[in-house]
Formats: sequence, C-alpha cells, structure tokens
Amino acid sequence: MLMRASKSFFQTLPWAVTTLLVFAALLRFGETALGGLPEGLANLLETLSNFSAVFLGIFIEAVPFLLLGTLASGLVEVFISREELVRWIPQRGVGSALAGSLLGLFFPVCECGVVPFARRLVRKGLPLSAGIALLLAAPVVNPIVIASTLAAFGVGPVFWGRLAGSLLIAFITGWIFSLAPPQEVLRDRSGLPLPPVMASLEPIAVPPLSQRFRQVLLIAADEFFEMGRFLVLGALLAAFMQTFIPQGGLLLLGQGAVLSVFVMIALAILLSVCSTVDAFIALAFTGTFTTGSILAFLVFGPMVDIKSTLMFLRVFKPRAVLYLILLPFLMTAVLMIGLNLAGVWG
Amino acid sequence: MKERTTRSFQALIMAGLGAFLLFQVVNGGITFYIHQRFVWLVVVGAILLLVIAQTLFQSRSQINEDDPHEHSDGEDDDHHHVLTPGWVLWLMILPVMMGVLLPQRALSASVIQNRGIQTGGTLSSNTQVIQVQDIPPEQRTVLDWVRLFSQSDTRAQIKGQPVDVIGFVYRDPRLPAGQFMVARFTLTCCVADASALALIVSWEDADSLVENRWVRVRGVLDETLLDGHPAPLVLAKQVEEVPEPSQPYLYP
Repeated sequence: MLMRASKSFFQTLPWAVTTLLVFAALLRFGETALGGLPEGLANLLETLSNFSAVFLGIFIEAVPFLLLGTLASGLVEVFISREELVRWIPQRGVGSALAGSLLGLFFPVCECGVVPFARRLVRKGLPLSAGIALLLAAPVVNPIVIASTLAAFGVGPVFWGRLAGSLLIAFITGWIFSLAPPQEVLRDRSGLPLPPVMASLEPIAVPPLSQRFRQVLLIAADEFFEMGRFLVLGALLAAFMQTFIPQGGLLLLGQGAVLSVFVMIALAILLSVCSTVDAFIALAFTGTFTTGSILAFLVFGPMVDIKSTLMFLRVFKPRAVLYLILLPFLMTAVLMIGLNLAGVWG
Repeated sequence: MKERTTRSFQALIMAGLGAFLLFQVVNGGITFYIHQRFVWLVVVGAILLLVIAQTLFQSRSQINEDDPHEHSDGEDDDHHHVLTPGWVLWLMILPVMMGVLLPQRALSASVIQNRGIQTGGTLSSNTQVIQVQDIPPEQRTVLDWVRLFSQSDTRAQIKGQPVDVIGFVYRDPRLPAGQFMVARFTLTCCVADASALALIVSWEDADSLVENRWVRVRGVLDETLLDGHPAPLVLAKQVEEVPEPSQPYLYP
C-alpha cells in the first residue's frame, strides 16, 4: 500500500516540478516584458531562484562523484575476477568479518551496487559474515566516498567518525551473522535469476578490450539513472527544506542530543541518497543539527534506506533482513547519542 | 518504452547535462552554485557525461528489439537492472530545466529569513585570525572583519580602524531606523552550506537603500549590541551602490 502510494507520488513529482518551473519562466518573462512585477510575485520569483540555486548547488557538486562511482562499479563488473579475490579472504569468524568490512577499499561500489555485488561474491564462495560486513561497510569505506566526505567536511570529527563508526558497526554485524547458518539467512538461490545486464557478462569468451570498455560505460549509464533519481529527489527535498522551512523549527528538532539522532536517521531512510553524495546533503544540516546526528545520517544512511531494504528483501530471508536493519540501527543510535551526551564535539 | 528509445533518451539527457555543466563553467555561472575549488571536478564530470552519451548513441544500433529479455515497461520493483522508467528520465531532466528556466542568481537576502545571519561567533581558528590581522584594514572583507571581531583580544584592537567593504543590503528587523546590514554569503562547499555574515552599518540615509542591492561602505569600525551580544558596527561616512561582483560569495 505504502509502496504503491509513494510510487505514484514520485511519478507525479516530475510533472509537478515542471509545472512550477514553467510558471516561474512565465513570471520571469513577465518581469522583462513589463519591466517589473507586483511585489508578491517578485518575492515568489526570488524564493524560487534561491530554491533552484540550492538544488543545483547540491546536484552539480554531487554529479562528478556519482559518475565516478558508477564507472568504478562498471569496471569492477567487467574487469575483476571474483574467484581470484575470494582466495585472499579468511574463511570464517572474526577475520572474515574484518576482511569483508575492508573490502570496499578495493571495490568502490555505493549502496545501490553493493547488494548484487555482495550476493555475487557470496555465491562464489565468500563467507557470509564477510558478505554482510561488505554489504554494510563498502558504501562508506571506499575511496570515492572517502574523497567526497573529505571534500564536504575536511579532516575532522565527522570524517573520522564516519569511517570508524561504519567499520565498527559493519564488523560487529558481520561477526554476529557468522553465528547463523547461511541457509537461514539467504533466500532460495534458485529463485534469484541474475539481472540481464549481469547475466550477459558471464565470461563465456573474453570479448575484445574495446567491447569491454563499452560495456563499462553502458553499466555506468544504467547506474547513473538508477541512482541519480535518488540524488535528484534528495536534493529537491533538501532545497525545499532550506528555502521554505524556517530553521527555528528545525533547531528545536536538531539540538536535542537524543531526538536529533532519531530525526536524522529517519531522514536518511526517507531520502535514500546515494552514499557517494550524501555528505553534501548532510552538510546542509550542520549548524542546525548536533554532530552526533549528522554522523548518524552518514553512518546509518548508506547501510539501510528505502531502496537498499527493497534490495535486501530480494536476497535475504525476512528475519535476516530484520536483523540487518535493527542491528545497525541500535548500534548507530546508541553510539551517536552516547557521543552527543558525552559532549565530545567540544 | 523500447530499449532503443530508452537508450536514446538516456543519451540525450546525459549529453544535455554535460553540455549544461560545461556552459556554466565557461560563462562563470558555476560559481553561483559551488565553491571554486570544485570546478575542475565539474569539468571532469561533464566530459564523462558526454563520453557516456556518445557510447549510448552508438550502442543503439546493436540492440536487438526482438529479444524477449529486453521488453519491460519500466516497472522496476522486481529487478535491479531494467530499462529506466519514463518518470525517472523526466526527473533527470529537471536539473537542466531548472538551470535554464529559472533566473540564475546568487543567493539573495530572502534566504536569511530562514537561515539567520551571523555578526560574530566562533567561526574561525586562532591561526586564521592572526593571518587576517596582516591584511591592511581597507582591504579586509566582511568575513575578515567578522573573524577579527569574534575574538575578544583582537576586538579591542580593531575598534576605530577604517573600513571599506562591499556586500548586499539586508534589513534586519531587529535594527533601529538609520541602520542596515552589509552582508555576504560564505561557502565551504556548495550553496547548500552557505551562511550569511554581516556588519551592522549606521548611516543617516539607511532607509533609502533597497534590500539585495550591492553597496560599498566606507567608515570606521565601532561596536554595538545585537540581542544583547556585542556586534560590529560601521559608522559610515559614505555608502554608494556598486554592481554585483562576478564572485558574489566569500570562501572561508
């Protein structure tokens, strides 16, 4: 029900925004033609152009990072033999969870690409605990997201907190999952056909290099549209909140050590912004929200949100999905509220 | 939608976005949106977009429309890699449409009502303040003055120094008649994190100034109280309208 309703909302949204834009263009035309507008309309036009400046600011800043992420993901798909990789990973316990949570450093996939990627690795013999740790950590602990977080926040508590928090939570969750037998976690494998794009990549014969590069670019294009939609939606929402909602109201939500963390976690789930760009969206909330809550957004968001939950449900059994959501949620909340209350931010 | 059509639209959108970004870089509009130091990244992104668009165009000839696998009406709930649905294609055009249809302006004073404005506070480290002290007073920006004023030890030194700054006019409702604020936005990354900084200006003709217009203020620095906190005040000798600078934001 909710899915259907939200889907039809998102499908109407482009139309609604387009109507608004055409209206604004008419106003602008009227302004030049008449040499001025009544005060109310002029203010409206000013507000709309501020809205557009914030939206385009977030979008333009994020697009290069999104593109780099999709390219990297395409390169991994086409050029890396996973069988080779699996030999280097410890097969059980603490070691495999640790290896899994660091694997993202070599495979820059964001959370949209990580679910099929992790599933594929597990099928090829990666231990489940490493697969789960990879699933949760790779969207943050990878070169591209590290670079975009650095670009947005610089070296400081948010940067280190995001890395450390993500690694810790992914490692512990992966370790807990190593206690469960894989058949109780994964759904029936026969019911999971490979997506067409990936199926076509099964190496029957190695195609010429130019063909493979072309394949990389096509995967990048698909992923750009797959994830770009969440970027546009997230940037629209962030720009809307900045332009139309007075910060006085947000401050009430954003300054409580406990409440702010839950608000930002909820926002992370709702926005479902790709981890390569979420740092830029989070930046808009610094100043109004506590540092712990910004970190909660940056740590929890890449692990669990609307789109990744949908993907989880296709790969894991429902009970396993519940654990996959609850464990990171509890750990993020406890950690960040604790840091807020301890006042470590100075 | 057939795969060939979808690919065509994808190619068009990516090419359009790439061209839009390059155009913004060339005509300088890009700095209305993001910090200067990221402009090269935008150029890289735009080139990537154009290359991918070109590949998409070329790949259309190799699509076999009779392949039963390829038919999908864009319902994406049960598969990760299917054709991009129409509403997503439309959504991805919005950024370019917004850039073309709406007037491209830097942030303006109406944002301040939502975000607030700073005249002091702890926004910089000691080393930054020391660097700012070496700048001759007449060349300091609004940001430099607010920085110096935010430290209590430098605050005493700068009182009485000559001020010569530009900024836009902001009429803060807390100010009495005969005063206005000369304000600038500062960016650390992009417009989303912009924050407004200002000096209060005392000038006899303050009420004749129009909000958002750019002015050059010359005078002497003094101190006043705003909401019970000390705030920098310029006793203006001269206020004149100037054109908006090509680079409207300041970078801390």
